[in-house]
Amino acid sequence: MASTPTSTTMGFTGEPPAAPRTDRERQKADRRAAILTAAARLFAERGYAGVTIEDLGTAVGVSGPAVYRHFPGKSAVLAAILEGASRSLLDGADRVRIEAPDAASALRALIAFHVDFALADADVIAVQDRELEQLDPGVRHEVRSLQRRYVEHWVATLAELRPDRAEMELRFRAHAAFGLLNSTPHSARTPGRRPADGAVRGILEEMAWASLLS
Amino acid sequence: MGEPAVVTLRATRDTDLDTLHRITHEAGHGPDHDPGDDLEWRTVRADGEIVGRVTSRREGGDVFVAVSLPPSASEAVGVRALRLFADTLPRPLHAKVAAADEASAAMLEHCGFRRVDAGLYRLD
Repeated sequence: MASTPTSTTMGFTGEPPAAPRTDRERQKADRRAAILTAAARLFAERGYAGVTIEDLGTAVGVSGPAVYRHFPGKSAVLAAILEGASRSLLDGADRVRIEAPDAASALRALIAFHVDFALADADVIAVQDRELEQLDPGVRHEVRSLQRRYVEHWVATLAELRPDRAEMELRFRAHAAFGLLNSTPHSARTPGRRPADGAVRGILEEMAWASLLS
Repeated sequence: MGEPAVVTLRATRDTDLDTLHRITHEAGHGPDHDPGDDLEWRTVRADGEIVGRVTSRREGGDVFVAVSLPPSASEAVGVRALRLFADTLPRPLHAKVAAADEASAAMLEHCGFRRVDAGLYRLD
């Protein structure tokens, strides 16, 4: 196997519940991940309400009913996408803060990590921004809680860099930076083609840094 | 390590190309061209890591698919990637295999392709 890092190491793949052991289980895990990827794209393009289970099946080449072998329904697909995304973000931020030698490096790494995620998973970010309310209350609570813990990593890092500033302001700045980072990759995307990630990345990182610390 | 837990395909991005060029070079698949309108490119990832690509192209009204993985990749990863890709494409599909390339022929047969001529396979 090529030991090649991807452009993003925390890209959302829709982790299956347990490590598959047989060919059949692996095939099922692949299919499940393909459904999640296609669903994120379709939900981002048409909105959650505009996509049917049949559409999800068609996108990966199976019948609508076959999708039910992987998910009990459309809301379970949305739940898996949003839980997976918020868990990946939180895990990434946990790792970044453990590894960073100081607060400034931590903030740079948090920004770079988030930009990576927003560029690699623009569909997922768009769905997260728009469709959170569609989740069942229990799952929504879980996703919100993961998201809050993610924001806390940013606020705590900013507080180390700007101890003079009120926590409320830091939190507001963090959310404003997410708005900048989350909306741009998706809106800057032309049909069928992604923006040149390398160019976009540098601009976004610089703008986020400025917006957080200005 | 063993087999990856999950194999996924995604539309190939500009940032994937360097890695893919290196892999196809290692695989001895000759020089690459960039994805054009007549080609569908999908980047194959195994547990999130880029391991190769699958492509489709039109040739005289027929759709041909191809898989590029490094020699070190297991046949099973090729099967899993090709299966995902083939399921999203209209049938019939075609594939070419070099005479001595038994591994690729086995991979195609594993995905349900049958041999219709020397070096030529078809999935209905």
